[in-house]
Amino acid sequence: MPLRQWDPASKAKVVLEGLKGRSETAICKRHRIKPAEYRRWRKQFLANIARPLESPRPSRSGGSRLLPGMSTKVWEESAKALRVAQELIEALPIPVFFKARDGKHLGANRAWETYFGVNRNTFIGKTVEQLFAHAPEVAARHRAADEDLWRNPGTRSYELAVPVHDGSLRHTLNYKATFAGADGKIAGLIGAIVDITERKRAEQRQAIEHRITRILSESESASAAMPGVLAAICETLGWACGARWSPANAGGFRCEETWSAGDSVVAAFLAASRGTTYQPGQAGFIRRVLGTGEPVWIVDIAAEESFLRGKQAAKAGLRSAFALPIRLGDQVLGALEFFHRDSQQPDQWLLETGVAIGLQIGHFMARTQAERELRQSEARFRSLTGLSSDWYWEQDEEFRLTFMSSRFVERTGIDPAPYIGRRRWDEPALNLTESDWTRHKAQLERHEPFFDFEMEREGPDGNSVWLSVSGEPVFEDRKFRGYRGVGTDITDRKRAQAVLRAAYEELARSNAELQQFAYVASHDLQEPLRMIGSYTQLLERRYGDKLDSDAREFMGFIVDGATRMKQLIEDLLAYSRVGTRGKELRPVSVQAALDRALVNLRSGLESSGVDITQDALPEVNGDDTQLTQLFQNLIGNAIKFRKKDEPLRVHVGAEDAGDEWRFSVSDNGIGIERQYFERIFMVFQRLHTRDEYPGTGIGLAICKKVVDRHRGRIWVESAHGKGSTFIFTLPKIQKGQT
Amino acid sequence: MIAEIDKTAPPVEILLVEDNLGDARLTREALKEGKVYNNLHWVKDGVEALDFLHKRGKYKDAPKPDIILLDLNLPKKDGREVLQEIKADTRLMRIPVVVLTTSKAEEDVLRTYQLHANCYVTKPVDLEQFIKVVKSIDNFWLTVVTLPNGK
Repeated sequence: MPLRQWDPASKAKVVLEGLKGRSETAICKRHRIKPAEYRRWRKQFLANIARPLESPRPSRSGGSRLLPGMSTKVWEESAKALRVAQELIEALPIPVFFKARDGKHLGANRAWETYFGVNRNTFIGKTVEQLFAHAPEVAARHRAADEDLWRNPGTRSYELAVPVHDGSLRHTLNYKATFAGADGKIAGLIGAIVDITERKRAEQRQAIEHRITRILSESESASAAMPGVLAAICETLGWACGARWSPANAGGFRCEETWSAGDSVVAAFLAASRGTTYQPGQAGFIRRVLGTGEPVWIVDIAAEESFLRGKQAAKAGLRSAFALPIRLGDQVLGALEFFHRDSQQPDQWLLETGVAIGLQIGHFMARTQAERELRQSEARFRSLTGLSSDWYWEQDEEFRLTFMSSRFVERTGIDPAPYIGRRRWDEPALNLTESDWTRHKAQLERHEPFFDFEMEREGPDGNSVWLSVSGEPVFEDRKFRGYRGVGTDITDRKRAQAVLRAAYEELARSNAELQQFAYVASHDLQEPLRMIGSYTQLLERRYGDKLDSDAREFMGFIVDGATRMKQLIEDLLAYSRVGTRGKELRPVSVQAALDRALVNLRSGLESSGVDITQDALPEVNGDDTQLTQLFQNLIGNAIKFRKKDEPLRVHVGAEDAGDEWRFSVSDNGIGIERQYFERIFMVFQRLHTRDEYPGTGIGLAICKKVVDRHRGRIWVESAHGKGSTFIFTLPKIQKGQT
Repeated sequence: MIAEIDKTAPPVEILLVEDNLGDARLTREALKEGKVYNNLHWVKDGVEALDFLHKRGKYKDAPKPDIILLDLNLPKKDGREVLQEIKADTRLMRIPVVVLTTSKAEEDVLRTYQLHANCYVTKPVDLEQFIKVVKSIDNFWLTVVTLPNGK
């Protein structure tokens, strides 16, 4: 079959059939042309109508290339209209495009070319799927809008974020309108794009900031607020997940909170992050933010070597990341990081918005920190004042009371209201004189702290209440602002002190009386004794030869009785003087005391032929005279109660018993039965008659009193017939005592 | 039993300040047994003692005593005060004073007052001892009179 020669007008007719909706197969079959040829014509045709007219005039061959056969006049008119329309469209600052009924693009204006950065020739004949091969969700949205228009012709508008030539995302408002062909059927659509990115972003930023502000205002801490903040940013901007990092001790940092949209793989990645604390020295994404205080953007996290978690993140399906600093002034308090599933080019707007959000969170954190510290401080103060029995008060710079805590009335029963606004010295204090107040006032005027200032006030029941107040001056910006301090009710203490003092005075008085009594007794009891004894003896001396032997014996008993009574009185006096007339305790040599005792006992020792051995003896805090008396009495007893048929051996021992020394005086004498161990230390308690052993029974009582006074103990270990060991303890000299 | 008294020398003037009649009598009896020829002047309280020493009132012709035996517990003015006044008076301070005490305890108390008595004697219940004490006063006196400017 010979090939038919096609003129341009015929070609245009064929192509128009296609534009009106006839399928490519049907056209090729009908006109017996190859599909490739049809497509070439179509492309040519579309290029021509999309391109602005190169010449307003029809070609010399007559008629338009577009619409052959059109009369010159009609052509002139329509060509003019078409040219105006085309020029208008070409000059429009907003992108405009045409699309055929089959979804293929027919043409676009220069603004479109600029907007998408694509040469319009290359896009003619392409579908949205081809045009947005890298953004299938964008293509799908456009396709859906087109399909809707084909079904219900008319106009449509919708918003859509689309990626443009530099990879950035632009928010577009798309207007589309169908147009009809010559046959009245829908031939295609014309679309116009209004870029609403700025408006959209302003809205987004406002939305994010509004949401974050609301979250922060409802949160008590950064930790509580953060998941919501991360969600607000991710959800508004389409990022997959986020996390907050904070500086950890010693230059490290730690992941605190995370948020993700519920993807378990992403959640696992975040969970791994959350458990991580990075030590100082490790490189990283977050470290860069914390170090510089500047946001960081990573387009491809898998390729970023400095991003330590890059591999795991990539495995979780994440592609791009950015992090923004949480700042307070120059101080970096932490960082927020976000991940996107798709590759995202650095977005200046997002970075700027992020910095603003970071500052907002920084202020929030500083405020919550300050609030937490204030709360803690208040809690501490409350528990302190709550637990303490003290009250708290404040005074202004004129020393007028401005505050009194409730503990005051609880403790004292005094209503503080009348005291508010008044100075301490405006109310009488029973214990203070005018000059006391003057001194206190002077101290306050010098702005000095004061401690334990005691005041006796009249309480509500008329009884006196003792208060002790302490205060310190308050300065703000070096300016004196008054005083604050605490007060304590010391009434009980004062009463106890008064009772104690009364008891002490009573004791001192009774002691003095006792001493006086002992003195009087010793003196006044002895005078009659002396009369009895002396005059009985004088009688015997002068008139003895005139009396019989009975009379002389009776007079002997009188003298003996008087003599013994005198001895008893002397002993009793000596006993009482151990406590009342002792010397102050100071370091003394026990050896010296023993030596003096042995000198005093010399005659007794010589006559009994005693064998005395001893240990090394220490120094103790003591009264040397009384210690001498102690040894003298104990060794004297050993001599007195020795066995008649055995040489007397006495050992003086000393051993270290921790805080005290343990001394002992052991003998091989007659011993003491256990039942008398207590009794022998009591005054005038004797185990033997005076015929057997002389004495009043005061010796051991004095020993016990001496040891008691030295804060020691004394006891005896003995068995009848087997000697006795008297043991006494004396406290060691404490370090620091001289 | 009563020793012979040497009456060739002038008598020693003794002032006994003692409120107790029994003690005074006992002192007199003991002195009888001593060797010293003496004139015993007896006053019953501190005020009287100082009147005697200062030759006041009924004592304006009293001799200056060579020795004073001073009891402590006296009415009106006690022995401590009397002793203090004696030792503060330049004309009297050289007169030896023997303080008669009832007990050792009393002596200890007195020593703490630092009253500068020349001697303390505890009055014994036993007459023999008392006689010994008075004899020791004799000895004391004899020692004193042998010293130049003893008075």
